[in-house]
Amino acid sequence: MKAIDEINELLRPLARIGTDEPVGLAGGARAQALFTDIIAQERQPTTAGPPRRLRDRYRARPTLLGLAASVVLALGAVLGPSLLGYGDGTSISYANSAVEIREEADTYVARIKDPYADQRRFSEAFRALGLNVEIKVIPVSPASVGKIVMMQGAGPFHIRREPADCDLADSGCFMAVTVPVALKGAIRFDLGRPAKPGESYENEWQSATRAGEQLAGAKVSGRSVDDVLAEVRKRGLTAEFSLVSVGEGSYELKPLAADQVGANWIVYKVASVRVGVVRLQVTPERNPALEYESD
Amino acid sequence: MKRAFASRIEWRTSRWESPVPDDTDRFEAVYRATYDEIIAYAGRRCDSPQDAADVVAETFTVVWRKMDELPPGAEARLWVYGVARNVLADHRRSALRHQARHRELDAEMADLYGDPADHNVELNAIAQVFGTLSDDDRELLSLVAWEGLDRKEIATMLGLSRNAVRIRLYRARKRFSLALDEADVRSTPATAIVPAGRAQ
Repeated sequence: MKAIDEINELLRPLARIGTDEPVGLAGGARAQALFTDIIAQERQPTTAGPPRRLRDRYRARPTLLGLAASVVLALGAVLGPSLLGYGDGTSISYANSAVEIREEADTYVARIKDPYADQRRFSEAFRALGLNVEIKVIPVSPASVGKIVMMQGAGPFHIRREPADCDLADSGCFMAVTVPVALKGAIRFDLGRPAKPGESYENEWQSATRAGEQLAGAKVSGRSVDDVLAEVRKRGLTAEFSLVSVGEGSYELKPLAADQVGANWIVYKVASVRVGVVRLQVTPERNPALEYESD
Repeated sequence: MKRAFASRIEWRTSRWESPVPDDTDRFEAVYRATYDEIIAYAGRRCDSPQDAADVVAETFTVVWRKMDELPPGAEARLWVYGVARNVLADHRRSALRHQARHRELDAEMADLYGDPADHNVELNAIAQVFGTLSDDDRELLSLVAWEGLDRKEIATMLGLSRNAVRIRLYRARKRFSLALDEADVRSTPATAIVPAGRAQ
């Protein structure tokens, strides 16, 4: 008896539409026309019985004949040339202008092609594969570029650069996120991209004292505003302020003018705002509900 | 404790937008993801582009109507394949009537459709033997060879156990191998398929 691989080799050349190349019509105008026609139809309650006969349906909805015709034209374009050959087993699972997702082993690898794209383009790609993954790509301070800076949901997620260790400021360098194919539930995460000149960072919850940041290595948490401002000036930076308002297990930040801040107020954290500017998160007094890094 | 508290703080300072995709979004997503595959699935199994077009349009119409039943995750794609298979079976039952209605159009489309096997004696021999198998055997072997589905995926698509798929696939392979032997068709390890007596 022939092995399954041998049978596959016998049968593949018989496929009228080749198995080695994607059809590549999903993004076309005809696909869009059919889609538009279908969703224009009223949804009916699901019936448990077998589908009615095809022709009966067409009589009931003559517009379908028109949309079938659009598919015929598409098929003609695909089927005209003979496509013989073998697949190499690698395929793009989904791609749009913003992201390209391919399957590798038990994971989907999503390559962010356009970090500036509408975030809905990322989500639609994952939804197409049946996954509820929301991605935002946000401008971040240097130490967070190319990293997952915020995540909700559990699972083994990874982010890497393609090609490995490239500079994300280069056009040929991409972030690629890996999520399990068998992912359950909703996942949301923010990915950090380099900020454009003058653009403000959005990772304000991350400290500017981390390695690679503008205040790398400085001790700021729990110290007075005056002390921290001295450090800020020493590094040639300017400072903005926000007021830390502590609630039930969380806190919020409110804008604060410099002249409202006392020299002996206490700094909780310092975040980068943009190149050359940091923001001191402060309270009038030391607040026991906050966890200071120096504790 | 410190860690948990910190993460809640961090969470509050971000600006998530609520993701509540409605059915149209979900349908669009699954439509875009499977459109090419269903075009190929129908095109490989229908005798004419018109038939294939009918099957594609009807498949997605059924998917749209049954969005409530669309399973999550990777099963969504297999579920759409399953719908296409049912639509195709339904379509074949009404094929005679269809041909009477659209004969001229079908003839025109057939020119576009092409048939690579027509130009290849060796492939024709294989195609003829393949055509002698039952619909079920052909479908199982095709799902593996053409759509690239594995046993687990086929089991999900057909609503069978993996073991049942394994056994049916084994039997289909056995019958196909026997039929090839009876027709005296030999194959080489490469792509070239040659009838017995003409092997190099």
